[in-house]
Amino acid sequence: MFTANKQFKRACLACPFFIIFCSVLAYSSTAQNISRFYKSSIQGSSVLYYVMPEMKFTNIQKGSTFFFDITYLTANDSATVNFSYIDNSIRQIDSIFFVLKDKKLSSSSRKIFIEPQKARWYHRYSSEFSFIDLLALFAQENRPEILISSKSGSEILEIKPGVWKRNAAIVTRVLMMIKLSKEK
Amino acid sequence: MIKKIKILAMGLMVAALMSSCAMLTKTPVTGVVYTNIKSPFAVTSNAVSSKVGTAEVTSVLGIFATGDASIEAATKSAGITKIHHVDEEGTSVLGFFAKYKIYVYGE
Repeated sequence: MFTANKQFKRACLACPFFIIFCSVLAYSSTAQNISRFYKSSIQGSSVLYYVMPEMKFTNIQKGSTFFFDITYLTANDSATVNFSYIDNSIRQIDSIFFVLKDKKLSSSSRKIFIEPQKARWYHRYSSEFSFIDLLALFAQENRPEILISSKSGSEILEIKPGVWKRNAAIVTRVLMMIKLSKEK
Repeated sequence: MIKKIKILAMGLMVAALMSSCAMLTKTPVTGVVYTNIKSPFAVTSNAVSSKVGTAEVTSVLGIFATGDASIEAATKSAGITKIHHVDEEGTSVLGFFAKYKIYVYGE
């Protein structure tokens, strides 16, 4: 009888933790579903895709961060990369580069807004890149660096290898899906 | 027997209290354990869209809730001046963490 009571108590105590474990498992399993990384909307004869790579590039010494999203209308050849750059100082960005081992992808940047965010400055800019170049960028294994160029100088931001490996694979699947859907 | 009932009652009370902590209030349906819902928010008569902007708010344990999920914030993030339609997405995990995000489509 005492053993049955102890077992019942253990079961009651373990129940909430079991529920928490199941919910975390459910969330992490659905997290691998690529639909979490993109949205699509039919626009007449083309489709508008919004891709969220969920990648953060950082410059640890300066404490600045960079993250971006991709918007692509299938009727076009180029995709829009809107990016956010957060730094302690104001920077008038004129272009950004995705720096790979053997090449650089570059594009001029158009300012959307700059505003203060607590003690730092939040920069929001827009650039255009070729969709095919972006697909090739995310498909490669080596993580790229981001080079931000402005009149006051340039800055390099990096991403953690594990984050790049995990998220780039998912983004590549999304972009490949877009490419295949676009082909007639 | 009374002790078993007390333990069960306590467990249910904790679950009920925790379930309302960081829950979504704007989605059409919610799940106590896990929610991931996408639903429509608004639509206009503007013809097409070529830009997408987003804005989100998050809540932790129902104690701290921060962010700006306004349409203004979302349109500003993509430089949208003419809105086509707006969708919303809500995610919550067992009342510990909840996120509400809007997607504004326009040009």
